[in-house]
Amino acid sequence: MSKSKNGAPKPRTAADQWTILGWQIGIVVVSLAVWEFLVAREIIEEFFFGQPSGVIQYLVENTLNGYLLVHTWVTVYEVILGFVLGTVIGTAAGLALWWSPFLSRVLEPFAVVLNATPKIVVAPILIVWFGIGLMSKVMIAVLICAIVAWLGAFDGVRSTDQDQADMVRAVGGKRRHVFFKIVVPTSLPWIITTMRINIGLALIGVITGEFLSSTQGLGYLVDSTAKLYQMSHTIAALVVIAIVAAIQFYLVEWMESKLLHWSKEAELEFIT
Amino acid sequence: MNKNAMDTGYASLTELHGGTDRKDQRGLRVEFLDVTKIFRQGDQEITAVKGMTFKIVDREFISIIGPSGCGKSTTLKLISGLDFPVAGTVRVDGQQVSGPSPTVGFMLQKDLLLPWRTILENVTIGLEMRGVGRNERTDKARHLIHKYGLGGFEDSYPRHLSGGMRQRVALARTLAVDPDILLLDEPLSALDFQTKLKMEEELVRILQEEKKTVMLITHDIAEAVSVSDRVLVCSSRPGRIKAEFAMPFSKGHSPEEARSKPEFIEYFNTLWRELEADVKV
Repeated sequence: MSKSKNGAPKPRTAADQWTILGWQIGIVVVSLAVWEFLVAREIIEEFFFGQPSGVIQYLVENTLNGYLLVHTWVTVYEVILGFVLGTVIGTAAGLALWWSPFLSRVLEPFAVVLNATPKIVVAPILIVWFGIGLMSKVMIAVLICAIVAWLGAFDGVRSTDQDQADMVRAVGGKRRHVFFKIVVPTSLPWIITTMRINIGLALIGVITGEFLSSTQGLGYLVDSTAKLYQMSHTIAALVVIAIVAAIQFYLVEWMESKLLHWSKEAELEFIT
Repeated sequence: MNKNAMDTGYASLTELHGGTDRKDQRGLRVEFLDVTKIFRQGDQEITAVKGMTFKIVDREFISIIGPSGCGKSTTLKLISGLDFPVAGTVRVDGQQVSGPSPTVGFMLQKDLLLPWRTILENVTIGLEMRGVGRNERTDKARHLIHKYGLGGFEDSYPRHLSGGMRQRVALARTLAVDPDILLLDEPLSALDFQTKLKMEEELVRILQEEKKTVMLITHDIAEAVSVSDRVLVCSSRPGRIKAEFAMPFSKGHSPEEARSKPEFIEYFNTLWRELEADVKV
């Protein structure tokens, strides 16, 4: 669940770690230098490809005058609000299905269809309903996150071990004990996984909404500058989006390590 | 009483209803009367047990052996109140079983430890749900954990423990809520042979010390002979009790000592022959 999931072998020594970091920084610096050089020599056109120095200049200027911060805040606000509301609503609805096997069976085919449909198709409808302001983007994120969280929690609930539930009842537990002490913890890995997926989907949903119609946000910035062929500005906005996405990812990762501490593989070496 | 069982001889097939006469001075704990249980699987109906009858008296250790799928585990679920018969009566202490009761505890082959709880938290789960205060339940759990040789592992997670240790935690969890009657469904069968023998020894000692009434479901004839007062042999599906034998070894002998008695093999063979009739390879 944690470190080894990305498949990269762990560096064995501190020296290895520094070497790897050196290479990573090197790749970025060399790519930027080559790009800058190609544009400066007019081997590729600045008009189509932008220029690293232009991007950096734009980033610095517009961070200092607050222009980028305003757009970043709008997008982050929409993503966080949509993600939190959607995840909470969807997870609660998914977990609640444990109480009604009948309703679970009724809703099962809907879950399958919803799961297979690209959720982003709801974006144009929500813009019609909620206008071009923040609300429509928040709702896009809410809806996407709620569907994914609902499906995930539902899957988690269905993976509950009946013998564990029986054990809880045999030592004196009621139905609510089975729910809180078995069903919820069992579903937790599913819930965390959907959060990991949702934080990314919320950002995609919000930015798509901003592409479609808006006057603020990083998606608006990307879309409007690209239409004016201001490539360095567009790329600068992309860089900010990448930074936002990275921060979100590490936040969820951190949350996962707090919530699922018991499955941490690092501790496995202790006895066996 | 031991003498008595010896004298009547291992091969005497006691009558199902009259067989427990000599123990009648001890109270009846479990009555399983003419019980039938049918499961529905899609369009199919599977009769797990049909007209099964047996009784367990106070502090008795009985084992049920029989071929796979003869409804042994169903029996256990019906007594523990997790499932109900379609016909017949199941009573514990004279009361018809209507749901799980604090008197009855069970242990399965799977230890069912919750991986997200520490050993201590796994042991306290039952007390927690019965509203016992934090300090009290922690004290009780710590006591049990030490008693069963798991001191120092209170804050470890189940995955750090070996199979034998995990089963001891499961036993501690089961006994923490003080059930009087214990239903054991092949609790040791997942362990390697050495560990199994050692655990068997411990389990029998603990249950005797705690004066529990025990029903053990097992595949292992040697285990049944060495630990039980009485062994019920179950027929293949639909399950019913087809024979019942009194065993002489359980009182005053450890399972290990029982296994080394010269007459052990005769009891073993009797049960073996009784089972063989039903096993189709």
